[in-house]
Amino acid sequence: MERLMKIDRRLLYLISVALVAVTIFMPLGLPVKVSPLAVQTYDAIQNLPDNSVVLIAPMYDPGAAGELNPMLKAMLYQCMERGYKIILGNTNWTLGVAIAHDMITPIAAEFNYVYGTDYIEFGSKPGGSVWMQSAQTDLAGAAIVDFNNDPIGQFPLIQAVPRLTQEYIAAVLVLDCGTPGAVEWLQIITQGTSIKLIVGEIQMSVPDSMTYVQSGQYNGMIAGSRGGAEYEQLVGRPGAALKSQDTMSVIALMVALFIVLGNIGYVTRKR
Amino acid sequence: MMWLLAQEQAPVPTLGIFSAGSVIDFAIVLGLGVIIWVMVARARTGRKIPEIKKIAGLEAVDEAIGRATEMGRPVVFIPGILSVDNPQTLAAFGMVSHIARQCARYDTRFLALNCDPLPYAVIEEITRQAYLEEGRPDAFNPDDIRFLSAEQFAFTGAVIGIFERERPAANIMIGAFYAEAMMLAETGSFQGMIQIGGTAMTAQLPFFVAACDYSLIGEEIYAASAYLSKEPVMYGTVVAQDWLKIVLALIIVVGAVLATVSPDSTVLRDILGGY
Amino acid sequence: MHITSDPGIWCQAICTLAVYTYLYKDNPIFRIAENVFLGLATTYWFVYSFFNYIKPAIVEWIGTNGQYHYVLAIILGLLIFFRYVPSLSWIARYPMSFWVGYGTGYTLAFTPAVWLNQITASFVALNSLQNILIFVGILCTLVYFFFTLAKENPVVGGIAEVGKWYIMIALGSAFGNTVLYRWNLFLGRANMLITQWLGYTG
Repeated sequence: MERLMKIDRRLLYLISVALVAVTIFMPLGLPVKVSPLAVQTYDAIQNLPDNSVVLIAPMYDPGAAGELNPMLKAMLYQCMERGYKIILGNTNWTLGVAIAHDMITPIAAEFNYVYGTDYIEFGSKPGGSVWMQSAQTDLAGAAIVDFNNDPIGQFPLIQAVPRLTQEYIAAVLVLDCGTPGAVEWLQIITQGTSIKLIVGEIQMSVPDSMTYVQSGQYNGMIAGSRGGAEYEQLVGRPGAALKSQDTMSVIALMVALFIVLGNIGYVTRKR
Repeated sequence: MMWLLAQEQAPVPTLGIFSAGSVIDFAIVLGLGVIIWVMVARARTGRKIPEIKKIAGLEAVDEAIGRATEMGRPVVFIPGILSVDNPQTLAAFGMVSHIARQCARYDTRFLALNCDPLPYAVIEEITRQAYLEEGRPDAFNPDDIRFLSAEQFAFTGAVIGIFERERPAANIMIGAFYAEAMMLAETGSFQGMIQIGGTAMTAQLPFFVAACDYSLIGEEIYAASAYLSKEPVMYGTVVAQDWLKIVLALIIVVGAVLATVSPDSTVLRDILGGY
Repeated sequence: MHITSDPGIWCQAICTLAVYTYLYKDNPIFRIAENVFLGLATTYWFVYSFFNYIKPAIVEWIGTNGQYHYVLAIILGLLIFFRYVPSLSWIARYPMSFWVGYGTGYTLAFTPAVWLNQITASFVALNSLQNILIFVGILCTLVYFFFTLAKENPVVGGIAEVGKWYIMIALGSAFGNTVLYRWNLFLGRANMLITQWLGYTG
């Protein structure tokens, strides 16, 4: 039995690679049930007042793109279908805005969104929470130029949103994978205001972030790739997250099995 | 502009200076400040204050350094990957002084590997001072306090490379860690190092618990730092925090009892600033 | 299947496979990949810092906006280089002190509101098993983190032990989520290799 603790990890890697390959080449089409949290998140965005302005902050880099890209895409679709004005940008996550730029451009074209009026990209600004404080008092002054390096103050959407306060924005949608992230947006911008804070969270940070959902500080949370799959279904745009659930389910089973085997080995060794 | 959500007027500051709801925040910070000040003052003047009890696994720090000394191999210290404005990094500073002093005393090579330039500069200062205080300024080698990369995974790759090449005997990781926690702890474990991991990042703690010989959970890193350094400011702060926790526990008990017997009551929430 | 001719994708694929060779054991291919990555990251951060911090501060904040007070901040930041002048290295402590002070002040100013909310959220009515478990968990975990109470005392020790179990269960949950996240990262790479590199479209 003790051998169960000493399974060659290379064997585990080999089995995992085989499982991933099999589920990619032969999808099982396992059903993904939508959870109440996903519905709450979808509703939180859907029920914002018509013509709301939302700020979408892709606070991530390519490392987390696998989980967060599908969420961002679905969020963009939902916001544009509802006709919200979108301010897109972040602080300190340069590659996040580059990823988001590639994503929003075709979707905006699909919905005939006009740059500068219906949506704008202010790019990535340095400063983290300090920058957020500046944007809270003067958005154009804090951003200065947009993603394309054009002076941002000339655009109607920015003229209409002089500050990141509850008078001007209805919600902040954060794709979160580290620091600065959703907690900083909560601390500086949304805490104690009517601005909704909706978070797309990587699987790893879900337990931590759940406390903010329970306390009502996050009005909604897309929880990891599974949450992304549920949210894609609600938005009616099945995509990469939903596609990955077969593999994730099979892998979760495999990991659970090996944890049980390892623990059997551990317990019997102790005896 | 029709799309504007012109809902509410800008809030009027309370007492002319506090933004809405922040009076209670200020009162708590002030109250905690007073308790800390009293405890620090008492600790400084040698008067009696509650003693921080020994934290399980803390003696392992000395054990790890001892083993490295016996094996003639280095001790590695990693202060997480966040900067000096993060409290966990500050806790790492509290520990690094003790570890560097022990290494200086036993003539064991001490390597500190950094992902952020500011902690790198601070740790170099602390280590230099530690070697000086041990009467071994000549043994201090600035090249052993290294800044590797500000990019998370480049840093991780570099640390793994150092683990492979320099074969340290002990690896002490205290601070704010993210995804690199598992990679570093697992590599250290494969290398057979004695490892101590401590962080307040909940998602990373399981990996320290699984792959390290000893782990410090969450707030234990702050207490450990104070316990090791015996520095009055840190010591007094940890003791004061215990007082705050007692107050919080009482508030939670009262809040839960009120919520049970009088679910509509908002008295306590109102006292706490309406949160 | 149509293997791509895009050199960028080829580069990604080769680097990914080179790093994964470490799963077998440490080897020269992994080390080459590691060193290339380290070099690239260093250059990237240099360029990133210049274009995202130094240039905007000088060109946009000071040049375009005329916010000349940032000059003082820049001078304060530059003082850190005094650490390379041994006789004047004490000057380098000032910018660091400023930054530590800012960090502490920020934490004190902005975190109480966040955790006060968490505290009031734990005022749960003790009328269901779930709420009672939450209530007991919060109190026992708090006791676990009392550092001045003797855990040898059977009452305190017992409560702290229950707190430890709660912590371990929470860590188990965190472990599961993190493991799944890692697999998702791997899945992302596998998808890139299979769909973008090997051109499988399913």
